[in-house]
Amino acid sequence: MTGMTSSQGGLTRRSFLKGTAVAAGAVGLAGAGSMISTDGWLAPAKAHATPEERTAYTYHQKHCGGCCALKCTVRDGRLVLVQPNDVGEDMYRTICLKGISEVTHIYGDGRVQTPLKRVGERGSGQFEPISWDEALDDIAERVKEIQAQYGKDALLVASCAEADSTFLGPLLGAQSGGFTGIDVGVGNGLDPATGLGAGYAMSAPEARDWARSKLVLSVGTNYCESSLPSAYLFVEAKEAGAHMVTVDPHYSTTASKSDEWIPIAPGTDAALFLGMVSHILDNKLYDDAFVRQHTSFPFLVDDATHKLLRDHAEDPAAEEPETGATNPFFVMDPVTGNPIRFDQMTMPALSVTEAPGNVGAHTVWDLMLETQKPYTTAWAAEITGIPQERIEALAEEYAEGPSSLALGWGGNDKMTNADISGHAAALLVALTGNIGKPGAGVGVYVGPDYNSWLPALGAWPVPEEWAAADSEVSLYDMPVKENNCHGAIFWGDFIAQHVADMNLTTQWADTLDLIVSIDPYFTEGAKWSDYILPATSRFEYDDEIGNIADGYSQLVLQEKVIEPLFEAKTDLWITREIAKRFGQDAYLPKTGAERVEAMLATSTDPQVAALKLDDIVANQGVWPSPDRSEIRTVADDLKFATPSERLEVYYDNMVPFDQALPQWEPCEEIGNEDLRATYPLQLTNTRTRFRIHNQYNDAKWLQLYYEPTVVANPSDLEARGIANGDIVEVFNERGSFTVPCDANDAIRPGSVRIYEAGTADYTVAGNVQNTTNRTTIERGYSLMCGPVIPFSDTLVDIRKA
Amino acid sequence: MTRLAIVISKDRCVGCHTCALSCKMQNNIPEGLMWNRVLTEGCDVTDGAQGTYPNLTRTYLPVACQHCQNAACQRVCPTGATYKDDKGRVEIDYDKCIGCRMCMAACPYNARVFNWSEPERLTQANYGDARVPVRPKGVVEKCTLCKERTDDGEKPMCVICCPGHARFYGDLDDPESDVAKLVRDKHATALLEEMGTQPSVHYFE
Repeated sequence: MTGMTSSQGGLTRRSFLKGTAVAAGAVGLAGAGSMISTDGWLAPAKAHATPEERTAYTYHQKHCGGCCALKCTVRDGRLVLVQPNDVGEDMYRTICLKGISEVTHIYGDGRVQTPLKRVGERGSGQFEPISWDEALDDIAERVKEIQAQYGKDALLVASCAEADSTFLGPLLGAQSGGFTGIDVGVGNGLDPATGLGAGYAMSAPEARDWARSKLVLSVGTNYCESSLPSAYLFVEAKEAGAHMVTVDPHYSTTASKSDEWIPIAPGTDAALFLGMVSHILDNKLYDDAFVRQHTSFPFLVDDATHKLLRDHAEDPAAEEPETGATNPFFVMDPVTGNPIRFDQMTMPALSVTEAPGNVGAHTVWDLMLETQKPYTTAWAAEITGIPQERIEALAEEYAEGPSSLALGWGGNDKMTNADISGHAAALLVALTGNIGKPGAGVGVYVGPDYNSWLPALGAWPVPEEWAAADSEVSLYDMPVKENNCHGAIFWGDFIAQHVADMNLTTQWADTLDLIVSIDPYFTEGAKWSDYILPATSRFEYDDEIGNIADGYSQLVLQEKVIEPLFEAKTDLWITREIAKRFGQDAYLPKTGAERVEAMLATSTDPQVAALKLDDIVANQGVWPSPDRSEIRTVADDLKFATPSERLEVYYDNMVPFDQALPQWEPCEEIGNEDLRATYPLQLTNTRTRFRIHNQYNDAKWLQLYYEPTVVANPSDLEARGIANGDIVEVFNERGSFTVPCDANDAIRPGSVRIYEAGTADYTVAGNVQNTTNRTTIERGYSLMCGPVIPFSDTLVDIRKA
Repeated sequence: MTRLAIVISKDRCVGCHTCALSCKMQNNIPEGLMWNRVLTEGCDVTDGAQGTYPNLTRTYLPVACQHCQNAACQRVCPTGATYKDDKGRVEIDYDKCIGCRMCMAACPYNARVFNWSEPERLTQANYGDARVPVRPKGVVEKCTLCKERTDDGEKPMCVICCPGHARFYGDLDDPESDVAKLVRDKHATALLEEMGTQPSVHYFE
């Protein structure tokens, strides 16, 4: 399958795009010939004696949670300067190197300039230019054929976070691909306890709250890169006196900015947390009143069924779980020993041993004391490689609080046992009460617009008949499970970005009757597409107003900065044109402004509903959230979004998997000692300040600092006769890729690191995903968001190429 | 007197290179040249570390023109192209620069770059602040302390873009300025102080 790589004789992306320009000129696309070649389109600015200059405002990536409000200078129709929008207080004037790189990136040779139709085999990268009308007519016709033959859900419309793609899937009645498998590892385990976070562990207060913490414990998160525009909040917390401790296998940027770095064996975060839990229990460091009043530790579990005692059996067909009020849980009266409704007892027994008699049940607390027995701090030290005394001191410091437990999406989250680490973290929080008070919280703190004051936006009203179909099989399982997907429209690079084990993915993709890729840039996945449609970047629009979004405690407006480049069209225009071919376009907004006005007017927040578009425009495209002078916190009233409104640490649905309380389990692949004998290195593929997933792979100014490189500890390289800077092949039985190699002591021996989304046009050869692990564990399908794709639960070896 | 300066917190710098790219954008710096770079002390790879795992340290060091009071570059310039202006900034009169590059050899901070060929820009057009003069082939260039911005009372672009809020700008000769206070209170130091160049740019932990 590596036939698409530039090193194996195929056309490189760059030469292909140049070829496209020439071919397009030759076939004389309706007046577009001069706009297809970068050279022709970009006339020299100095041709104008007096440059015309103006300012426009927009927002940048949503995906990193930054959503930076930007002030853009346009001269002679070109974007020439991008800087933080200077409305509002300093802390909201954010930007990072990715925003700045756009000044050249949006004009780069990575752009798809015209609609393209595949002419070679899938993956060969052979396309020819085609007109918009021809492309859209073809696509609509084939979608109709597929849906007529196999049903509406035979079409998959999947979208990455950056695209403005809301309407298309529902209007076509397509399926959306089900579970994403990404960023849900830790949240799957943590969020059932808090009822917050939506499975993504997004349950944290604003990172500003760290300045009120005594301990900020970061585990598996690299905030100072992942949340770069707000990196100042990390250093400000440190200056305010918070003890910043970072647990990471590697000496990450965040580790190096912390007061202390604690190296840990990859994939063992759960063992660290379980060891801390034991130490807190053994030394009675828990908050007794909090445990009895705000957690499910005193709840009774039936000895026979191992399920929580409830008033009556839940209807398995019920759409929503019953609440604690309608179907109470039970605790034990410490005096009488009788079970009693949990909401009628302020200080229940923690253990059934506190009262005489036998009720045929034990408390969650009793069960935890039993299940925690093997997880001593000595055991945790053995598993994690962290000294026992350090684990114990950390547990004591965490328990004392107020402590923030910052978790992440880039470390243990991408391994098969991620849910166990999230669940064990929930135990730590529930024991110590480190939540719902200043300086205390748990979850992912990355991304200010994920956890700040978000003004409620309404939505453009769509017909009731517009509804996405269910996905019986999730996208990442389609290569291995029978399913009804026969065609796909992808906004973003799903084939190379959202699924592991790429050789398998592309074999599956090749079985589809239709693949359409919509993206401003030519991605790896685009090579498997039948049609590629060029979308506009964040800075281009065909109308004065594009869209509106929630930024960091503010609404931010997307204004047109420049006209669409090349033949690119906005996502809304593309949606409208497809809708037209299905007779549905009358229901779509005719302009961006019309949509924004509807999103404001239909807001559930009266202040937002009263907003006028012109007022936001007059304020440089920003409407600050009225609450934002206060630090946004979570669950201040200690009422959680669970059925009992308590922290619920016992998971009934995990009883069949022996994970009702978190039980240690090694990672599926990197914990396999036999396989390690053949492939001794764990490949961690993490995020970086230089990219957002595969975005910016083609940004020349970011390539000054990073191009896909595997980084290894010098000792692992010496053992293989590899020198710093050598080209190496990274391989396992699934496949391989070839990249330069850096020797860096920051990398833990026994691991190698590459930043994710190294796709074949940017490596020496091959895709990073050729090697990654796609194993889905059985338990995963019973978790909140389905199994996580264990991209970093991957073993490889490296050799000089 | 006025002595404009940037004072940098090494503790707050997260090594992201935003300062370097914002400078490149603002000042229309062509391909192959940078006025501002973030070094990692003692390392020859990106985001390297000093020491042996797990006993490691890492220090990012953003380096551009240090706007020295006793500027080595100025002393060797045969044409007077490099000069000290009335706000304490070291500047270059591009019309007077003959491209001899004596200043580059003299600068101990390696802060200057030279237009060896016709400047090339990825977009084939000028970008950045329209007030910034375009430099031709054959002249030396470097950080101007965003002369065009600071003359108009704006902060340098690297200062307003820094995600770590690690860069501070002001007048060292004004004892009430943020930068003067930081130098005083944080015991800020200058790079290669032993060379006697008396940089205006300061760093603190």
